[in-house]
Parts: sequence; C-alpha cells; structure tokens
Amino acid sequence: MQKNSENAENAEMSESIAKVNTRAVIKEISMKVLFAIAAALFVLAVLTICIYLLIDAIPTIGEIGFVKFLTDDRWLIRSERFGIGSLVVGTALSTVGALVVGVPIGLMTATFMAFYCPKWLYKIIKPLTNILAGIPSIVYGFFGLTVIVPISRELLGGGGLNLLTTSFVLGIMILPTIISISENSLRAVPKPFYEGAVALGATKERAIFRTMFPAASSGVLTAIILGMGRAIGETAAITLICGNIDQIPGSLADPFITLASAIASGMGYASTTNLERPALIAVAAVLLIIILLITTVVMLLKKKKY
Amino acid sequence: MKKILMAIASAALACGIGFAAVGCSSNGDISVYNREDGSGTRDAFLELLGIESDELNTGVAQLNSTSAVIQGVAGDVKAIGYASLGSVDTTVKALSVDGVAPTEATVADGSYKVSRPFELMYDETELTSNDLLAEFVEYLKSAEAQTIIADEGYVSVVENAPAYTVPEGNLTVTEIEASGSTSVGPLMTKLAAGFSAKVEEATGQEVQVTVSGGGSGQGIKDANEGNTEIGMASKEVTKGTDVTNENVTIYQLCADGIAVIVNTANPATDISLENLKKIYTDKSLNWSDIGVMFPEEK
Repeated sequence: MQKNSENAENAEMSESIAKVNTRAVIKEISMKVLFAIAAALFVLAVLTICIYLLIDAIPTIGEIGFVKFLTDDRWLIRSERFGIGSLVVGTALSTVGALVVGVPIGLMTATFMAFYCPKWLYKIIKPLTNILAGIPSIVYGFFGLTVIVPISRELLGGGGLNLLTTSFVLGIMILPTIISISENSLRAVPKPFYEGAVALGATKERAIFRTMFPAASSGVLTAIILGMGRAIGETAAITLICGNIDQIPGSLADPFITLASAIASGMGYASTTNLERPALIAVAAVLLIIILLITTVVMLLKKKKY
Repeated sequence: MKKILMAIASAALACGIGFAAVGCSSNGDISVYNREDGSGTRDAFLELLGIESDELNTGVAQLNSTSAVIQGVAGDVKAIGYASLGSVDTTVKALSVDGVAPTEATVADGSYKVSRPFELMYDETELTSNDLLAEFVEYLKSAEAQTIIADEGYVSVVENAPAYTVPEGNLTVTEIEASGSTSVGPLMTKLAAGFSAKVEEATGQEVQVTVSGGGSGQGIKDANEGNTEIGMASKEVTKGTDVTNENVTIYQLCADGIAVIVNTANPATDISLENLKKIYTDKSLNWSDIGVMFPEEK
C-alpha cells in the first residue's frame, strides 16, 4: 500500500468502505435467500395440502358417485352410505345460527369499543377479546356441554345437544374475530368523515351508522366472513355439543352433524382398506373448497380501502 | 350496507323461529343416546338386538365415548342409552332386561340377554410344538389376565385364577398371531402387551403376539384352517357346526355385557328385549307407550 499522499488515504478509506459494502451485500443476499426459502416452504405446505386432498378426494367421489355423495342424507360409513347432504346442511345451519348470535353482539361491541368506550374500560375490554380469541376451542365445547346443554335441555327438552346450543356456543366463539377486525376497520376510517357528519348536524349515532359504517363496510364484511369461516371449520367444540346425528335438523331442538365433526368422529375407526378413510378425505376436501371460496371473497373485499 | 345486514339477520332469525315452531312434533319423548358409527359397543348392541345400522333410531345424540353417554343419560330425565357393563356407575340406573339384572354372574352365564361371549380357538395339538402359544394360553387363564379383562370393562369367567409365572429359559417360538373379531381385538392387544412385558421382564426375551382383524367369521375360518395360531370370535361358537377342525379347542376368554341405562329419575326397573328393540328403531315412541309413567304425568 502507498503511504505518501492524501490519495493513499482516500484509497484506504474507499477500500474499507468497499469491504464493509461487500460484507453487507453478502449478508443481505443470504438473508433474502433465507426469507425466500421460508416463504417457499410455506407456499409448498399450502399447495401440498390442497393437491393431496384433491387428488385423494376426486377418485373417491367418482367411485361413490358425485350426485349421491352430495345429495344422500345418510352418513353411515360402516354401512357404506357416504352422503354428505345432512353434513352440508348441518354446517350451513350452524354457521347461520352462529352469525345470528355473533354478528349483532360483535358489531355492537365493536361500535362501543371504537366510539363510546372510556379509555380505562377499553384497557380492560381489548385484552378480554384477545383472551376470548386465545381460548382453545375444546374449552368452549366443554363450557357448552356443562353450562349451555343443561339450559337448552330445560328449554327445549330432548338431549340438549342441538342446533340452538351449537349456534350459541359458535356465536360466542366467532365474537373475537368479528369484534377486533370490525373495530380496527371502524378506527381506520379518517376522523374527518365523522367530524364532517357531526358538523352537518348529524347525531352521534347517525354519524356512526350512516357515515362510519358505510365507509368501513369492506372491513366489517371481512370480519363477518372470517367469523363465518371459523364457524364452518370449527371441530373440537362442535363434536362435543352437536349430537353427531346424520340428519337434517327439523328444528332448533334437533341434533345434527357438520362436515368437520363427521371427519373428527369417523377418523378413529375408518378403515383404509375400503372407502371409509377415502370418504373422510373427500369430506375434508369439500370443507377445504368451502374455506378457499370464503378466503377468496375476503381477498376481493380487502382490495377496497378501509 | 346496514340495510343489507339487517335484511340478512332478520331473514336468518325468521328462519330460525320458523324452524323452532315447525319441529318438535313427530318425535317421541324418549331421548335415545347412541354411540357413534364404528364404536365396538354400538356394533355389539345392534347385533345383539338384531338392528341394522340404517333402521336405527339415531335419537338425540351419538356420542364418542362411554363416559359421554353416561353423562348424557345422567343429566337427561327421559334418556335411555347403553354402555359396557364395567363402566356403569351410580349416576345412572341399569335396567334389567326380560327380568334378568345385568350383573357379572348373569353376563358370565349368558342369562342376561344383552351380552356375548368372547371366544378363542386354537389347535390343541400345536400346544406341544409351539411353546409361545402354550405359554400365552396359560397367561390368558391367569390372574394377571383376569385383572386386565376386568379393567377393560369385561366380565371374567375364570374363578380363582392362578398367578402366571414365566418359565425359565428362552421360548423357541417368538411370534404368533391372533386374528378375527374386531370386538375382541382391542382386549387381545392389551393382553398381548401384558404378556410380552411379563416375559421380557422375567427372561429378557422379546416375544410378540400380533393381533389382526377380519371379523368373527374370519377368526373361525383361520382357526379351522390353521392360518393363524389363535382365532377370535365375539359370539358363541360351537364345535361341529362352527368349528369343523377336530383339533381346535374353544376357550371362552371372557364375557361382554352391555348395560341398558336410564336416568335415576326414571321409574322403570325392567325392559323387555322387544321394547328395547322398538325404542331403538322407532323415533315416535314415548315412554308411556311401553308402560313407563313418569310421576309428573300421572
């Protein structure tokens, strides 16, 4: 290395900068690769699940008969009756029931939290919704079995394991999803919207329901649809409280079965040597397709602003 | 937005109320509890009553475990259910069937009708050449095996069973297979594990009793043809008609009794097999139709 001029000093400096730069670049590239691998693994996992289920399910459904699979209302895997009619209807009814219970309570709670709640109370309610979201679903099931089932038995007679009980428990389970997402989207609406409405003479309620809610509509809808997704896929709690009977419920007091609980209660016995196990996988594929559809709807809604 | 939501909510609510109003009519007041499709207890119960799976009154619940059924019946005044005899506790009431109370004695001698024997079949002449088979059979008759049988909820039919001692030295055969009834299978697996552990503890030798399924018919066939060392059946087998091979011995491992349980508030103490079958096939039946009057209805 030369020693005599300023040039030399400059050269030395730029060299060290270059050194640092190459090191930083290498670090950056390696981290990039690491992140890319992680992302690739995740994508691979999702794709594997989808492809595996569909590849397994399609021939099975073909063997059972597509129309028979969808419309037969008896699900007796031991007697080779693979009809998911009652399962689909049961899933749909319990989901509607959950929404009837969960959506009004959830949206009103979100409104309260976003606009009415004093700060000290918010500090209590917000963590509570997070706790509600974190409770394992089997605990909800147990709560339903020991608390709601006896009440329902008292009110409606029969076993207490029925559509009403399940709707109620599911409604509580989807609350955290609905509350937190719709509250966030209500808060994301710019303040001037609200201020403008009030300045024009609207009451607080009017400003909230006529200005803020329409502005946050995509977020609120996302909240409801994600709650719906949770209700459709819920397994552990439902298996305990739905009664697991492969019938289309004639009333709120009737037991029923859902897609997810049919898989859960059938898996323990299903034999791989005949159609039993493949039929359960076909049900799982149907469930997956329903959830994929819902996710797609949510993605389309998210393109909107709030 | 709000209007759409309101419309959806009110439509759903209307549906719900409509549902509630329409229903509750054609069903009788008996809350019938079942086990889920695939359960061994359910299979046995239906088989003993002669009910096909698709004519079964699915009732108010098909639960995934014995304890869930007992819990359900304990909390439901109009309930009826069934559970393995060994697991019934005092929170529910076990009915006698056709006048015979379900006890270990009536199950063991077969006079209680909702019961069945677990039979094993093995070739008597093999015992001399296959020491593992001979030892395992010896173990099945021992006190240790009776404990496992009782723990699993079945009724032991061996009185004053001796303790089992593992012979010194290694066994020449290290693997045998038992095949047949899937009802007997889970118990056999437990017994096989107990036996293997005992042998390994005493001599350090690893022996294996493999348990495979196929059903009672397969078990009888395998024993007759010598396909496997032990055939298993969950029904009564008789020499000559079922077992055609002269050398095959039938050994009753234990008996499986299924108790018919009702709520402790139910005034009934006895049920006929015929009525039991009616309840489990006919949804519209009421307790009063089979002569059971609850106090509040009198």
